[in-house]
Amino acid sequence: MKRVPGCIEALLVLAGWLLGARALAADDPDVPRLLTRVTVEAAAYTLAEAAEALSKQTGLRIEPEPYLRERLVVVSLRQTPARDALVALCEANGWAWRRVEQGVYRIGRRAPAGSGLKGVALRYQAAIPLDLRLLAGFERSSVTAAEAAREGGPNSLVSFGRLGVHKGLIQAVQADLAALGRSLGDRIAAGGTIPVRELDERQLRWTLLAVVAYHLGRTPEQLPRGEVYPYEADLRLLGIRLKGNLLEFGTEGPDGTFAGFGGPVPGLPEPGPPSQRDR
Amino acid sequence: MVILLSVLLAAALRVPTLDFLRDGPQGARRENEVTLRAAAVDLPGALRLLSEKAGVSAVTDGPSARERADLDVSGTLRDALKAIGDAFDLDAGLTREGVAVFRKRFADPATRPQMHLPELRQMAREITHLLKPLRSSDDPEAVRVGREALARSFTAGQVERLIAGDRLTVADLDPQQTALVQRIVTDHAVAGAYLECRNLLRALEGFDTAFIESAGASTSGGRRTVHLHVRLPGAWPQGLIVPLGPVALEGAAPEAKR
Repeated sequence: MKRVPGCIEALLVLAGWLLGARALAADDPDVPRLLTRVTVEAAAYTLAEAAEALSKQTGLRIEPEPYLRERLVVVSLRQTPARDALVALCEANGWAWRRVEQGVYRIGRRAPAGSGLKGVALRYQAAIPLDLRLLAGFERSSVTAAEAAREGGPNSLVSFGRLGVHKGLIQAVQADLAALGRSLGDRIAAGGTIPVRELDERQLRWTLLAVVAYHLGRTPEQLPRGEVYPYEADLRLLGIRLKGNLLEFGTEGPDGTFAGFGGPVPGLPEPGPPSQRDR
Repeated sequence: MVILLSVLLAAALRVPTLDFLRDGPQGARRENEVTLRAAAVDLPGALRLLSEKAGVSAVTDGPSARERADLDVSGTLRDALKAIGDAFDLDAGLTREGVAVFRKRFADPATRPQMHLPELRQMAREITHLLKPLRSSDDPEAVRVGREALARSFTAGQVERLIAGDRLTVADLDPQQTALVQRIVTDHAVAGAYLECRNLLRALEGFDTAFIESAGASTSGGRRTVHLHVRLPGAWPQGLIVPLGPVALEGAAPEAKR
């Protein structure tokens, strides 16, 4: 018998697999339920409430991950397939929905795939709530993209050291601290102590933003001038040089400057006079 | 091949693949005339109006900083979405299935993320978990140790080039040295971020029992300023301190005693 070429064989296997998958999808009792048209009166809901409304109308169990249960969404659904509503909810918030088992679906964070440090950076970014990413400039909204580009732009690939280097986040923290000070009045006079549990919802939000920004954020002034982060770059572009007794790792910028990080190494002789490349 | 498989499988199963701000559903509805008129309407009210007048369902990423706004627009669906977005500082788009999606735009300085504590804890947990295994060891001196190991591994020729002011690239290194450089770069990238995230996680996990405290009152130009911090009671003598920043106190500073 004449042998079928490998690529055609692979395509035939694929076609069979896809047809099988289609048949499976058609037999899946979840499919018609996901296509049930749902109506939810326009209002602000916790995600748990919105998911419960979808669950009741579809007969499915749709539930948020525990950390998202109390997060607020504003929803207005009119005779919309439940699947489309789920897609839109996730799209608005940077979430994903997945099937846990037949009849059970869960809404949670997106977990992008990727290998190496770039993959880690993508997952790092995805772990941050979408609205915080938008404020910090890690994610571009359509409207602010043009403005951000003029400012040097948010990084498409977040660099750990540069988290929060965005004037929007810094300005927000400064404004919130001022508002916190005004709202707490004399209670924050020198030596004042206020339990966090006594704060109202707004004061809590202001404080949380400042705490997160302190750990993940950096003002441009806090970053070493001109520092680049070689882990963003291809390792093949990395250079190693000796300067004094410092062994430095970095990349050459477009202006010829060498920027990176390094430290002393004992035992290596001092280098000679700097070459022309060391500016 | 993997990409081809994924695309074909997605097409076969009709998995929705969406980009924010797509052109929306194919069909005439998008081009139909929509009129939205309302005074001092809140965001749910605006979405209700959109659903009634344009037959479009809508979701947002949460309440808007602007509680109420006036709407007066007559145009395409896209015009209507933009009008709602402008009114409530939201970016607007349509999913492929035709559901309107709004996200915070942050053009208004008053707009803030929700800062939902359980979600922030999850964020800190995930990032800490993500970064921890990337470090070559728990040793905070790992970068120094790696750097010194690399220096010891240099051949006489490599040392000569460095001393002459030349730069070595990865192409000049043997595989073991390349692996060492990769480790140094990763440790440098991750170590600081890991410690920050671990402290953030501690701060968020203990947030309910924390205190806001002020210290370091100073007076400048007739204004009093205190420095705020969050203190979390804990195993340390003073607990974990998270500095927040300076805050001006209302009212003029008391006159200094002569």
